[in-house]
Amino acid sequence: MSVEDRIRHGLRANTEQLRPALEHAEEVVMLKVQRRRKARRVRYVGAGALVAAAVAVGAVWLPSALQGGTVTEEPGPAGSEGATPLPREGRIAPGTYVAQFNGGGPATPRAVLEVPSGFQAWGGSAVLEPGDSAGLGLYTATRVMGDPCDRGDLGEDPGPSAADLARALAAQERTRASSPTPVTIGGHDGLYLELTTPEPGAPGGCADDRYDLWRTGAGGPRFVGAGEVQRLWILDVAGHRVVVDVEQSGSEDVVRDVDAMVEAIRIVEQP
Amino acid sequence: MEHPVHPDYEWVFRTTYPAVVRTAFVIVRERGLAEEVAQDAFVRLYERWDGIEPVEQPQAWVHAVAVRMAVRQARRRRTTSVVDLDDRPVDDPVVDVDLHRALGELPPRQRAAVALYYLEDRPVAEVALLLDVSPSTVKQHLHRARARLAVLLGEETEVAGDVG
Repeated sequence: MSVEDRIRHGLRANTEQLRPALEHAEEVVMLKVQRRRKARRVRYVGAGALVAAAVAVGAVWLPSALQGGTVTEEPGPAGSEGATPLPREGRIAPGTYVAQFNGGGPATPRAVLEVPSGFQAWGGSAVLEPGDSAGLGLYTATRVMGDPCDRGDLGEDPGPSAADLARALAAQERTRASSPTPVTIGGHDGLYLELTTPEPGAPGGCADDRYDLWRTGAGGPRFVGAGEVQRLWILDVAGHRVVVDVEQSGSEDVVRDVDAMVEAIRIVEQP
Repeated sequence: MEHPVHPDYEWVFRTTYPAVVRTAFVIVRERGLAEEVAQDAFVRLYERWDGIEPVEQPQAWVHAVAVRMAVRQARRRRTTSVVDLDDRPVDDPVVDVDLHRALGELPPRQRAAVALYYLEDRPVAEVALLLDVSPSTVKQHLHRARARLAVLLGEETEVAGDVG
Protein backbone atom coordinates (compact mmCIF):
# COMPACT_ATOMS: atom_id res chain seq x y z
CA MET A 1 0.00 0.00 0.00
CA SER A 2 1.33 3.44 -0.86
CA VAL A 3 1.53 6.09 1.80
CA GLU A 4 -1.20 8.04 -0.01
CA ASP A 5 -3.59 5.08 0.12
CA ARG A 6 -2.75 4.56 3.77
CA ILE A 7 -3.47 8.21 4.56
CA ARG A 8 -6.77 8.20 2.65
CA HIS A 9 -8.05 4.96 4.13
CA GLY A 10 -6.77 5.76 7.60
CA LEU A 11 -8.32 9.19 7.74
CA ARG A 12 -11.67 7.87 6.58
CA ALA A 13 -11.56 5.04 9.11
CA ASN A 14 -10.60 7.40 11.91
CA THR A 15 -13.35 9.90 11.16
CA GLU A 16 -16.27 7.89 9.86
CA GLN A 17 -17.53 7.25 13.38
CA LEU A 18 -17.57 10.99 14.08
CA ARG A 19 -21.26 11.61 13.85
CA PRO A 20 -21.90 14.70 15.89
CA ALA A 21 -25.34 15.18 17.40
CA LEU A 22 -26.51 18.04 15.19
CA GLU A 23 -29.42 19.13 17.35
CA HIS A 24 -27.25 19.39 20.40
CA ALA A 25 -24.44 21.13 18.52
CA GLU A 26 -26.86 23.65 17.09
CA GLU A 27 -28.18 24.39 20.55
CA VAL A 28 -24.66 24.86 21.86
CA VAL A 29 -23.85 27.22 19.01
CA MET A 30 -26.94 29.31 19.73
CA LEU A 31 -26.09 29.36 23.42
CA LYS A 32 -22.59 30.59 22.62
CA VAL A 33 -24.02 33.28 20.35
CA GLN A 34 -26.25 34.46 23.17
CA ARG A 35 -23.41 34.43 25.68
CA ARG A 36 -21.15 36.44 23.39
CA ARG A 37 -23.88 39.00 22.84
CA LYS A 38 -24.55 39.22 26.54
CA ALA A 39 -20.84 39.53 27.31
CA ARG A 40 -20.52 42.34 24.77
CA ARG A 41 -23.48 44.14 26.34
CA VAL A 42 -21.94 43.76 29.80
CA ARG A 43 -18.59 45.06 28.51
CA TYR A 44 -20.22 48.07 26.88
CA VAL A 45 -22.32 48.85 29.94
CA GLY A 46 -19.40 48.22 32.30
CA ALA A 47 -17.01 50.32 30.26
CA GLY A 48 -19.57 53.10 30.05
CA ALA A 49 -20.10 53.06 33.80
CA LEU A 50 -16.35 53.18 34.44
CA VAL A 51 -15.88 56.04 32.00
CA ALA A 52 -18.68 57.96 33.72
CA ALA A 53 -17.18 57.28 37.13
CA ALA A 54 -13.72 58.31 36.00
CA VAL A 55 -14.97 61.51 34.47
CA ALA A 56 -16.89 62.28 37.65
CA VAL A 57 -13.94 61.89 39.99
CA GLY A 58 -11.17 62.83 37.60
CA ALA A 59 -9.55 59.54 38.23
CA VAL A 60 -6.33 58.62 36.47
CA TRP A 61 -6.59 54.88 36.93
CA LEU A 62 -9.10 54.34 34.15
CA PRO A 63 -6.89 52.57 31.60
CA SER A 64 -5.81 49.87 34.02
CA ALA A 65 -9.28 49.52 35.42
CA LEU A 66 -10.60 48.76 31.96
CA GLN A 67 -8.26 45.83 31.44
CA GLY A 68 -10.66 42.95 31.79
CA GLY A 69 -12.24 41.64 34.93
CA THR A 70 -12.25 38.64 37.12
CA VAL A 71 -14.46 35.61 36.74
CA THR A 72 -15.40 33.90 39.94
CA GLU A 73 -16.68 30.38 40.26
CA GLU A 74 -20.18 30.58 41.65
CA PRO A 75 -20.80 28.36 44.64
CA GLY A 76 -23.42 25.68 44.10
CA PRO A 77 -26.86 26.30 45.55
CA ALA A 78 -27.84 24.94 48.93
CA GLY A 79 -28.87 21.33 48.51
CA SER A 80 -26.22 20.57 45.91
CA GLU A 81 -23.33 20.11 48.31
CA GLY A 82 -21.17 17.17 47.31
CA ALA A 83 -22.45 17.24 43.74
CA THR A 84 -20.00 17.72 40.89
CA PRO A 85 -20.86 20.35 38.29
CA LEU A 86 -21.94 18.49 35.15
CA PRO A 87 -19.19 18.90 32.53
CA ARG A 88 -20.00 20.46 29.18
CA GLU A 89 -19.45 17.18 27.41
CA GLY A 90 -17.69 13.89 27.52
CA ARG A 91 -18.02 10.57 29.28
CA ILE A 92 -18.72 10.97 32.99
CA ALA A 93 -18.25 8.66 35.93
CA PRO A 94 -21.36 7.53 37.79
CA GLY A 95 -22.17 9.90 40.61
CA THR A 96 -24.05 12.98 41.73
CA TYR A 97 -23.96 15.98 39.43
CA VAL A 98 -25.45 19.44 39.61
CA ALA A 99 -26.61 20.70 36.23
CA GLN A 100 -28.04 23.85 34.73
CA PHE A 101 -31.27 24.14 32.83
CA ASN A 102 -30.41 24.93 29.22
CA GLY A 103 -30.92 28.63 28.57
CA GLY A 104 -31.39 29.49 32.22
CA GLY A 105 -29.84 32.48 33.91
CA PRO A 106 -27.93 32.86 37.15
CA ALA A 107 -31.14 32.80 39.19
CA THR A 108 -32.57 29.72 37.48
CA PRO A 109 -32.69 26.68 39.76
CA ARG A 110 -30.26 23.82 39.23
CA ALA A 111 -30.95 20.11 39.08
CA VAL A 112 -29.06 17.51 41.05
CA LEU A 113 -28.85 14.25 39.11
CA GLU A 114 -27.83 10.76 40.17
CA VAL A 115 -26.15 9.55 37.00
CA PRO A 116 -25.51 5.82 36.53
CA SER A 117 -22.59 4.43 34.56
CA GLY A 118 -22.44 4.62 30.78
CA PHE A 119 -23.68 8.16 30.29
CA GLN A 120 -22.03 11.23 28.90
CA ALA A 121 -22.63 14.91 29.46
CA TRP A 122 -23.88 17.26 26.78
CA GLY A 123 -23.77 21.01 27.06
CA GLY A 124 -23.79 20.95 30.84
CA SER A 125 -27.53 20.38 30.85
CA ALA A 126 -28.13 16.88 29.52
CA VAL A 127 -26.91 13.36 30.05
CA LEU A 128 -27.10 10.90 27.21
CA GLU A 129 -26.40 7.24 26.72
CA PRO A 130 -24.10 7.53 23.70
CA GLY A 131 -25.13 4.27 22.04
CA ASP A 132 -28.80 5.13 21.92
CA SER A 133 -28.49 8.91 22.07
CA ALA A 134 -31.25 8.65 24.64
CA GLY A 135 -31.24 10.45 27.91
CA LEU A 136 -32.40 13.29 30.05
CA GLY A 137 -32.26 16.98 29.21
CA LEU A 138 -32.91 20.04 31.33
CA TYR A 139 -34.44 23.04 29.60
CA THR A 140 -36.01 26.40 29.99
CA ALA A 141 -38.73 27.34 27.52
CA THR A 142 -39.71 30.93 26.85
CA ARG A 143 -41.35 30.79 23.43
CA VAL A 144 -43.31 27.97 21.84
CA MET A 145 -43.39 27.48 18.08
CA GLY A 146 -46.91 27.46 16.70
CA ASP A 147 -45.70 25.43 13.73
CA PRO A 148 -42.53 23.45 14.48
CA CYS A 149 -41.83 23.09 10.74
CA ASP A 150 -41.91 26.82 10.02
CA ARG A 151 -38.30 28.00 10.27
CA GLY A 152 -39.44 31.59 10.14
CA ASP A 153 -41.77 31.14 13.12
CA LEU A 154 -40.60 33.29 15.99
CA GLY A 155 -42.79 31.48 18.48
CA GLU A 156 -44.95 33.01 21.14
CA ASP A 157 -44.54 33.58 24.83
CA PRO A 158 -46.90 31.03 26.35
CA GLY A 159 -47.08 32.75 29.72
CA PRO A 160 -45.03 32.11 32.83
CA SER A 161 -46.51 29.00 34.44
CA ALA A 162 -46.15 25.28 33.86
CA ALA A 163 -49.81 25.17 32.89
CA ASP A 164 -49.23 27.93 30.31
CA LEU A 165 -46.42 25.99 28.66
CA ALA A 166 -48.38 22.73 28.73
CA ARG A 167 -51.33 24.48 27.07
CA ALA A 168 -49.14 26.00 24.36
CA LEU A 169 -47.48 22.67 23.57
CA ALA A 170 -50.85 20.96 23.44
CA ALA A 171 -51.97 23.56 20.89
CA GLN A 172 -48.83 23.23 18.77
CA GLU A 173 -49.48 22.20 15.18
CA ARG A 174 -48.28 18.81 13.88
CA THR A 175 -47.11 17.45 17.23
CA ARG A 176 -49.48 15.45 19.44
CA ALA A 177 -49.61 16.05 23.18
CA SER A 178 -51.13 13.86 25.86
CA SER A 179 -53.40 15.43 28.46
CA PRO A 180 -51.24 17.15 31.06
CA THR A 181 -51.42 15.45 34.43
CA PRO A 182 -50.33 16.86 37.80
CA VAL A 183 -47.00 15.55 38.99
CA THR A 184 -44.47 16.20 41.73
CA ILE A 185 -40.74 15.86 41.18
CA GLY A 186 -38.17 16.51 43.84
CA GLY A 187 -40.79 18.23 45.96
CA HIS A 188 -41.90 20.59 43.22
CA ASP A 189 -45.30 20.51 41.57
CA GLY A 190 -45.81 20.60 37.87
CA LEU A 191 -47.41 18.89 34.92
CA TYR A 192 -46.41 15.82 32.96
CA LEU A 193 -47.19 15.33 29.30
CA GLU A 194 -45.90 13.38 26.35
CA LEU A 195 -45.27 15.16 23.09
CA THR A 196 -45.11 13.01 19.95
CA THR A 197 -43.78 14.08 16.56
CA PRO A 198 -45.07 12.53 13.31
CA GLU A 199 -43.28 9.51 11.90
CA PRO A 200 -40.49 10.23 9.38
CA GLY A 201 -41.95 11.24 6.03
CA ALA A 202 -45.51 11.26 7.38
CA PRO A 203 -47.97 13.52 5.53
CA GLY A 204 -48.21 16.81 7.35
CA GLY A 205 -44.80 16.36 8.95
CA CYS A 206 -41.74 18.55 8.53
CA ALA A 207 -40.01 17.94 5.20
CA ASP A 208 -36.65 17.64 6.96
CA ASP A 209 -38.05 15.50 9.78
CA ARG A 210 -36.93 18.05 12.36
CA TYR A 211 -39.36 19.68 14.76
CA ASP A 212 -38.58 23.01 16.38
CA LEU A 213 -40.58 22.77 19.59
CA TRP A 214 -39.58 25.82 21.59
CA ARG A 215 -36.91 28.40 22.31
CA THR A 216 -34.95 28.29 25.54
CA GLY A 217 -34.38 31.31 27.69
CA ALA A 218 -31.15 31.91 25.79
CA GLY A 219 -32.96 31.79 22.44
CA GLY A 220 -31.64 28.37 21.46
CA PRO A 221 -33.96 26.07 19.53
CA ARG A 222 -35.19 22.80 20.98
CA PHE A 223 -35.22 20.51 17.99
CA VAL A 224 -36.37 16.91 18.03
CA GLY A 225 -36.52 14.34 15.26
CA ALA A 226 -39.49 12.67 13.60
CA GLY A 227 -41.30 9.79 15.26
CA GLU A 228 -40.05 10.67 18.70
CA VAL A 229 -41.85 10.86 22.01
CA GLN A 230 -40.67 13.47 24.46
CA ARG A 231 -41.67 12.92 28.06
CA LEU A 232 -41.89 16.32 29.66
CA TRP A 233 -42.09 17.24 33.31
CA ILE A 234 -42.84 20.96 33.44
CA LEU A 235 -42.22 22.36 36.88
CA ASP A 236 -42.86 25.64 38.66
CA VAL A 237 -39.92 26.24 41.01
CA ALA A 238 -39.99 29.43 43.05
CA GLY A 239 -41.16 31.58 40.17
CA HIS A 240 -39.06 29.80 37.55
CA ARG A 241 -40.48 27.38 35.02
CA VAL A 242 -38.17 24.53 34.09
CA VAL A 243 -38.56 21.42 31.97
CA VAL A 244 -37.15 17.94 32.48
CA ASP A 245 -37.18 16.36 29.04
CA VAL A 246 -36.67 12.65 28.48
CA GLU A 247 -36.39 11.24 25.02
CA GLN A 248 -38.41 8.07 25.00
CA SER A 249 -36.06 5.84 23.08
CA GLY A 250 -33.29 3.40 23.71
CA SER A 251 -33.03 -0.05 25.14
CA GLU A 252 -34.96 -1.21 28.20
CA ASP A 253 -31.84 -0.77 30.31
CA VAL A 254 -31.36 2.81 29.21
CA VAL A 255 -35.03 3.64 29.74
CA ARG A 256 -34.84 2.13 33.23
CA ASP A 257 -31.69 4.14 34.03
CA VAL A 258 -33.26 7.35 32.79
CA ASP A 259 -36.48 6.71 34.71
CA ALA A 260 -34.42 6.20 37.86
CA MET A 261 -32.66 9.52 37.23
CA VAL A 262 -36.00 11.30 36.90
CA GLU A 263 -37.29 9.75 40.11
CA ALA A 264 -34.16 10.76 42.01
CA ILE A 265 -33.84 14.26 40.57
CA ARG A 266 -33.65 17.17 43.01
CA ILE A 267 -34.34 20.74 41.99
CA VAL A 268 -32.48 23.29 44.07
CA GLU A 269 -33.07 27.01 44.10
CA GLN A 270 -30.23 29.44 43.61
CA PRO A 271 -29.25 31.48 46.66
CA MET B 1 -33.79 38.30 23.46
CA GLU B 2 -34.93 35.97 20.74
CA HIS B 3 -32.71 35.11 17.80
CA PRO B 4 -34.49 32.63 15.58
CA VAL B 5 -32.29 30.43 13.44
CA HIS B 6 -32.36 31.53 9.83
CA PRO B 7 -33.43 28.61 7.63
CA ASP B 8 -30.51 29.08 5.23
CA TYR B 9 -28.06 29.19 8.11
CA GLU B 10 -29.59 26.04 9.48
CA TRP B 11 -29.23 24.31 6.14
CA VAL B 12 -25.56 25.29 5.97
CA PHE B 13 -25.09 24.12 9.54
CA ARG B 14 -26.65 20.73 8.93
CA THR B 15 -24.81 20.07 5.70
CA THR B 16 -21.41 21.39 6.75
CA TYR B 17 -20.99 20.86 10.49
CA PRO B 18 -20.09 17.13 10.39
CA ALA B 19 -17.39 17.69 7.75
CA VAL B 20 -15.97 20.61 9.72
CA VAL B 21 -15.79 18.44 12.84
CA ARG B 22 -13.98 15.69 10.91
CA THR B 23 -11.43 18.09 9.49
CA ALA B 24 -10.85 19.74 12.86
CA PHE B 25 -10.47 16.30 14.45
CA VAL B 26 -7.58 15.44 12.12
CA ILE B 27 -5.89 18.70 13.07
CA VAL B 28 -6.50 18.84 16.83
CA ARG B 29 -6.75 15.05 17.30
CA GLU B 30 -9.42 15.18 20.00
CA ARG B 31 -13.10 14.83 19.38
CA GLY B 32 -14.25 17.21 22.11
CA LEU B 33 -11.85 19.91 21.01
CA ALA B 34 -12.78 19.36 17.36
CA GLU B 35 -16.46 19.88 18.17
CA GLU B 36 -15.67 22.98 20.15
CA VAL B 37 -13.66 24.41 17.27
CA ALA B 38 -16.47 23.66 14.84
CA GLN B 39 -19.06 25.23 17.13
CA ASP B 40 -16.99 28.37 17.55
CA ALA B 41 -16.59 28.64 13.79
CA PHE B 42 -20.36 28.40 13.36
CA VAL B 43 -20.85 31.02 16.06
CA ARG B 44 -18.75 33.36 13.92
CA LEU B 45 -20.76 32.42 10.85
CA TYR B 46 -24.02 33.07 12.66
CA GLU B 47 -22.81 36.47 13.76
CA ARG B 48 -21.87 37.32 10.18
CA TRP B 49 -25.10 35.99 8.72
CA ASP B 50 -27.18 39.09 9.26
CA GLY B 51 -24.26 41.47 9.50
CA ILE B 52 -23.19 44.23 7.20
CA GLU B 53 -20.69 41.95 5.46
CA PRO B 54 -22.68 38.84 4.60
CA VAL B 55 -20.68 35.75 3.72
CA GLU B 56 -20.90 34.87 0.05
CA GLN B 57 -19.80 31.24 0.32
CA PRO B 58 -20.75 30.26 3.87
CA GLN B 59 -19.65 26.63 3.64
CA ALA B 60 -16.16 27.53 2.49
CA TRP B 61 -15.98 30.46 4.88
CA VAL B 62 -16.88 28.46 7.97
CA HIS B 63 -14.54 25.68 6.91
CA ALA B 64 -11.66 28.12 6.54
CA VAL B 65 -12.40 29.71 9.91
CA ALA B 66 -12.56 26.30 11.58
CA VAL B 67 -9.28 25.19 10.02
CA ARG B 68 -7.53 28.34 11.22
CA MET B 69 -8.96 27.90 14.72
CA ALA B 70 -7.97 24.23 14.77
CA VAL B 71 -4.43 25.02 13.65
CA ARG B 72 -4.18 27.63 16.38
CA GLN B 73 -5.46 25.19 19.00
CA ALA B 74 -3.09 22.48 17.80
CA ARG B 75 -0.13 24.86 17.97
CA ARG B 76 -1.11 25.88 21.47
CA ARG B 77 -1.26 22.27 22.57
CA ARG B 78 2.09 21.48 20.99
CA THR B 79 3.71 24.26 22.95
CA THR B 80 1.97 23.61 26.23
CA SER B 81 1.72 19.85 26.55
CA VAL B 82 2.62 16.52 25.13
CA VAL B 83 -0.52 14.44 24.80
CA ASP B 84 0.12 10.76 24.84
CA LEU B 85 -2.24 8.75 22.71
CA ASP B 86 -3.23 6.65 25.68
CA ASP B 87 -4.52 9.81 27.35
CA ARG B 88 -7.03 10.56 24.63
CA PRO B 89 -10.72 10.58 25.63
CA VAL B 90 -12.29 7.15 25.51
CA ASP B 91 -14.88 8.10 22.93
CA ASP B 92 -12.41 9.23 20.28
CA PRO B 93 -13.19 6.90 17.42
CA VAL B 94 -9.65 6.19 16.23
CA VAL B 95 -9.27 3.03 14.15
CA ASP B 96 -5.85 3.53 12.55
CA VAL B 97 -3.99 4.34 15.73
CA ASP B 98 -0.58 4.46 14.05
CA LEU B 99 -1.73 7.05 11.53
CA HIS B 100 -3.39 9.07 14.28
CA ARG B 101 -0.15 9.03 16.23
CA ALA B 102 1.96 9.83 13.17
CA LEU B 103 -0.23 12.81 12.27
CA GLY B 104 0.57 14.19 15.69
CA GLU B 105 4.18 14.42 14.58
CA LEU B 106 3.30 16.82 11.76
CA PRO B 107 3.08 20.57 12.14
CA PRO B 108 -0.57 21.64 12.41
CA ARG B 109 -0.65 23.33 8.98
CA GLN B 110 0.59 20.15 7.33
CA ARG B 111 -2.14 18.25 9.15
CA ALA B 112 -4.67 20.74 7.84
CA ALA B 113 -3.42 20.31 4.28
CA VAL B 114 -3.54 16.52 4.65
CA ALA B 115 -7.09 16.63 6.03
CA LEU B 116 -8.41 18.89 3.29
CA TYR B 117 -6.64 17.08 0.47
CA TYR B 118 -6.88 13.43 1.49
CA LEU B 119 -9.97 13.34 3.67
CA GLU B 120 -12.11 15.86 1.86
CA ASP B 121 -10.69 15.25 -1.62
CA ARG B 122 -10.37 18.95 -2.29
CA PRO B 123 -8.12 20.04 -5.16
CA VAL B 124 -4.89 21.80 -4.27
CA ALA B 125 -6.24 25.15 -5.45
CA GLU B 126 -9.17 24.87 -3.06
CA VAL B 127 -6.95 23.77 -0.18
CA ALA B 128 -4.81 26.81 -0.88
CA LEU B 129 -7.83 29.09 -0.66
CA LEU B 130 -8.95 27.56 2.61
CA LEU B 131 -5.48 27.79 4.14
CA ASP B 132 -4.90 31.23 2.66
CA VAL B 133 -1.60 30.20 1.08
CA SER B 134 -0.41 29.65 -2.48
CA PRO B 135 -0.97 26.33 -4.28
CA SER B 136 2.79 25.73 -4.34
CA THR B 137 2.86 26.05 -0.54
CA VAL B 138 0.08 23.48 -0.28
CA LYS B 139 2.05 21.11 -2.51
CA GLN B 140 5.06 21.64 -0.31
CA HIS B 141 3.02 20.89 2.82
CA LEU B 142 1.66 17.71 1.25
CA HIS B 143 5.06 16.61 -0.02
CA ARG B 144 6.66 16.99 3.38
CA ALA B 145 3.71 15.41 5.16
CA ARG B 146 3.79 12.35 2.90
CA ALA B 147 7.53 11.97 3.33
CA ARG B 148 7.30 12.17 7.11
CA LEU B 149 4.28 9.89 7.34
CA ALA B 150 5.93 7.34 5.05
CA VAL B 151 8.88 7.15 7.41
CA LEU B 152 6.71 6.99 10.52
CA LEU B 153 4.34 4.41 9.07
CA GLY B 154 6.93 2.36 7.15
CA GLU B 155 4.97 2.69 3.94
CA GLU B 156 6.16 3.03 0.36
CA THR B 157 7.27 6.58 -0.05
CA GLU B 158 6.10 7.58 -3.55
CA VAL B 159 6.72 11.14 -2.61
CA ALA B 160 8.18 12.32 -5.88
CA GLY B 161 4.85 12.64 -7.69
CA ASP B 162 3.17 15.97 -7.95
CA VAL B 163 -0.34 16.65 -6.73
CA GLY B 164 -3.13 18.82 -7.81
